[in-house]
Amino acid sequence: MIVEAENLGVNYGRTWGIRGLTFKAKTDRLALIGHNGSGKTTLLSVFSGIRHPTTGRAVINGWEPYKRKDKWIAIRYSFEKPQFQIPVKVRDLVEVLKANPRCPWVDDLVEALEITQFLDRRIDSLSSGQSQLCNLLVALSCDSEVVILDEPTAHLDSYRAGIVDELISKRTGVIIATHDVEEGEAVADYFLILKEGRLVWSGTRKELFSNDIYEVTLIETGGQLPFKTLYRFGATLIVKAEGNELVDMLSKGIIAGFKRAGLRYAYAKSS
Amino acid sequence: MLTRKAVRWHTKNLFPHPVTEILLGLMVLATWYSLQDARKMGLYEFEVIVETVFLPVYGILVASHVFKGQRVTLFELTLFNGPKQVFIGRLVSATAGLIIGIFSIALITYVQGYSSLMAPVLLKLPTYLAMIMVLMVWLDSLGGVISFYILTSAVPMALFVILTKPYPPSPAVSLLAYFLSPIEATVGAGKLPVSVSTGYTVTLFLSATMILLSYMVFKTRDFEPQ
Repeated sequence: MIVEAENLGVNYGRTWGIRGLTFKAKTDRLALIGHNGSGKTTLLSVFSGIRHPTTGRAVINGWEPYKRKDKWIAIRYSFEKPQFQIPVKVRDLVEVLKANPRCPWVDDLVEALEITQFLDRRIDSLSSGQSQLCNLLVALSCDSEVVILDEPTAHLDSYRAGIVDELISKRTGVIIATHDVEEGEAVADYFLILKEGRLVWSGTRKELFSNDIYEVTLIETGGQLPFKTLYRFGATLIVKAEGNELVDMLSKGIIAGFKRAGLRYAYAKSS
Repeated sequence: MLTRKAVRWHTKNLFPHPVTEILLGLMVLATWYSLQDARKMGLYEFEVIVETVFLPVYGILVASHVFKGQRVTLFELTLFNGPKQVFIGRLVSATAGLIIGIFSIALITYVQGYSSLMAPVLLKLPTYLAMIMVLMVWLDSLGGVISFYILTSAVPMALFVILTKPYPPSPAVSLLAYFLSPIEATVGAGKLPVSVSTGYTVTLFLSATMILLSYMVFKTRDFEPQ
């Protein structure tokens, strides 16, 4: 999938949701990272074709999604905060999807997401996590060219979130928005970091993990390390160090673990 | 197949529904007795009760099944592969719901010997459908219900006042009366500068146009899922 934006902007009256975005990414799974209000959902709404941009254009594989007549088939969209006032049972939802010739993976997904546990509940009586699973079922069970997922695991417990991330990481043509850096790193191979509606960093996995900066988790929450600490997030430190030095500290029981600093560092650095 | 599923999806829990059934029962009784009184007192009671109270409230109960927030609409658009199925599902659902109440009232007018009232009562079906589908495109549940009530109850009440004045209203207001309060316009047709047949034709044309336009807009409109 090739995802492009040229001077892309969307405004809501006087406020710009996103502004001046320009990038080109060749990727199977693109992650948009940013805090609340950074413009992730606005950008997703343009790429899903449900909103026209105010300026510039967005392109996926050579076509502009909001101009495409079959956008509802070519793009499946799962948005955040799913609370549906729909007085039908989950079983009815599954039946509708099964009747859709473009959705061949319904049974597999119902099983994998453990939706069987609440098939006879009405959709308007589901918890937010269960609603989210129904939302994901609709987005992931069909063979669309592009799947757009806005905070797909925001309302899920860590077990189900893991299942969902595993499913997403096997798909191609995915654009996901998340403020969870672990989730972004788990599923995506290209990243865009947004702040206040502007693009502040973009790159591949290789570019993300290509330096001697590490994310270290301390055993003691108030502990210190003999390295230059770049950023601190509680017991998690972003440090500049050599990998063998950190292995030594791990064996001495000073740190609980470490990995190359990825999105957390890129995000903090771009502040 | 998917369109049939969309219709079933939207008509689920429309009927049987206890609140709608109770209101339908009350509306039938009120229509019956107001038409019995009409022999002595005229049709004013029937007009007010049916046109500005019971039918609008009944219409709201039906319309609340198709007035949905943007998130639900987006979910349904994804589920049913686009706007065509969702629009047809909502249109059929609203039609099915309205037909039961409106046909009941029309039948009572016939049984009670007021067959001239059948046409304006039946005209409520296309006009209510037109308003529901137009409001459905832009407004969520609360906004849709309030707007629908204003258009089907508050505005007809104002038209009642206008039409009871001794001087005739303008042709535009007359056509508005045929569209929003056809019962009152038909009863007081002698005072209007627009004939019943013209009024009905314009109303039907306007309703069909509104439904068509609402589909065109529904097909192309932008959404804000936040």
